[in-house]
Amino acid sequence: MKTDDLIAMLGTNVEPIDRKYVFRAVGAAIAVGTLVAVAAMLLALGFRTDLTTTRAFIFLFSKLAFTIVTVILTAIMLTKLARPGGERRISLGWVALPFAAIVLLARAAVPRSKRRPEFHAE
Amino acid sequence: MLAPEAELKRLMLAGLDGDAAAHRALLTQLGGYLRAYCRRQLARVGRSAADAEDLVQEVLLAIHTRRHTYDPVEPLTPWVHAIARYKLIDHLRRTRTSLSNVPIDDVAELVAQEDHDSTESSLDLGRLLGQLPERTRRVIECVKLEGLSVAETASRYGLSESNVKVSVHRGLKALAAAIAREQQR
Repeated sequence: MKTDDLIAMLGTNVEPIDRKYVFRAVGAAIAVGTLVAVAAMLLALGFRTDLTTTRAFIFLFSKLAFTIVTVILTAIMLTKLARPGGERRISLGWVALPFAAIVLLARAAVPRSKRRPEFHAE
Repeated sequence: MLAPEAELKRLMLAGLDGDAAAHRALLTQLGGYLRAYCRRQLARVGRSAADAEDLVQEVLLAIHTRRHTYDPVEPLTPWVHAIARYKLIDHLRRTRTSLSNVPIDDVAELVAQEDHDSTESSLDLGRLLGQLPERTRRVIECVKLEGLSVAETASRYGLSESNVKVSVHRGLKALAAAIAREQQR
């Protein structure tokens, strides 16, 4: 086969391309994943009724914030990885950010007197 | 003459909007760069010009079927280079060349030289099309070889226009897979 024949074939009746395809595909995957995860959680665990205290609400909010930030950062990475050459444009440091934040929050939440000696800064 | 990146990107963006002439011009220009690139890379592992032409065609087909993954705000050349490099690695893996032979190259190498002196590849379009399901093959022949519009093809075979578009897209991807299988033999 001649390459010119292939080019002529590929260049005939060229359809316009949806430039937002990757964003929409990743967005749809996240939406479906969220719905399935929430449905599975409600089916398996039911709705929590002990969220009336401020402490429980703050704990839930922290977990939700961690999950949402992780999903947003990984979605950004995924839209880059979905494109050829995208692996050269991602930084794993950004994905580590929410995990580092949780470690720091956990450290701040534990009173200094209850920390093991090796975790003391000084 | 415009710098290759600016000119190629202009053609790509026009092609993404459905400009067939721009898309053909893009593939023709890229073909020249890819031919020089593939010949250079395959020569390092002792492969022939016919092998390089097979690879050029595989890369051009991948560029066409993966157009939706190009981000218009990014430069085009690194995107094309990434596809060419993936296909080079696939080609060497299929033909059982050690992956340690894959040269480490730079994006700039892709547009370093042009070579419009094409040779015929070992691939036979008729035989490749024959490997596709009959309806898909007929739709591709109408839309891509005879040049009938999507609407004309749809009415000829009693299909919806979206069905024809899906058949063409799937058929081209199947064609790319058939080329890969041919090279494995």
